[in-house]
Amino acid sequence: MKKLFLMAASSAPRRAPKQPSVSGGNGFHSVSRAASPTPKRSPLSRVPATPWSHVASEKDTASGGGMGSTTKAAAAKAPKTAYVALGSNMGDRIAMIEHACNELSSRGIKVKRTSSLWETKPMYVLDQGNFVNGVCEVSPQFFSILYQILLTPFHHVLTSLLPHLVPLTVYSPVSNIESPDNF
Amino acid sequence: MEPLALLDELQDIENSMGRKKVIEKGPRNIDLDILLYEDYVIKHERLGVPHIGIAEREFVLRPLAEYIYCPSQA
Repeated sequence: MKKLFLMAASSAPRRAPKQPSVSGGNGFHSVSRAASPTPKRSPLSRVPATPWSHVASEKDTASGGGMGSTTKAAAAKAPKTAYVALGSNMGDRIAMIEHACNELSSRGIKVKRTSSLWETKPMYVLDQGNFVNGVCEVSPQFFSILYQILLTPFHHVLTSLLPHLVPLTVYSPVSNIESPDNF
Repeated sequence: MEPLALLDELQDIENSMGRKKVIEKGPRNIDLDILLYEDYVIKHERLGVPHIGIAEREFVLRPLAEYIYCPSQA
């Protein structure tokens, strides 16, 4: 397993200079950025790295130390953190992974940080080319339906309908109970 | 975004990039998997979180380990 190059700038100081091999010399070795197969700097490496302190404060304020202690509203608003594995062993492998990362971003899945890319020997099915693997930290941000409406090109048409919809609530039982006439 | 919605997006990205699964765990131009989602434990017919293969896959453990928070001793 060959380390191709560093993707996240901020991850450099956190990592030990040399990672111990856990597999007893099965071909794990890191390669400097200069030895990367792609001559140009990868777009993936430009993904802004979020410092850990930010993640910590986000967790502290949003989830209050655990999902169980949060209200539903706060849980819905809190940005979730997920880790997604990316792998490729066909074509321009690094470009494939970069493209997938860009696709994530364009779908509202924020790519917060990226790991190094590693070249790895195939597992399971051994008769195939080496893989390039990496893991990215993502923050899936699903916008609410209302927010999606506001983002559509026709939002002014849709929002103009709102005043016509609001009077309907007058006829709901809840509105009757709350009206001053009932007191 | 809920985990299954994220899975939908990942599979849609795989499909949009023209992934053709000829052999199970065989050659592929792109492979996207959810490893972890918050601290959720999910057992669903479409999705298992944490990903069942993490522990045996060095190619997942190494990149994932880069995110482990190690406070500076200095």
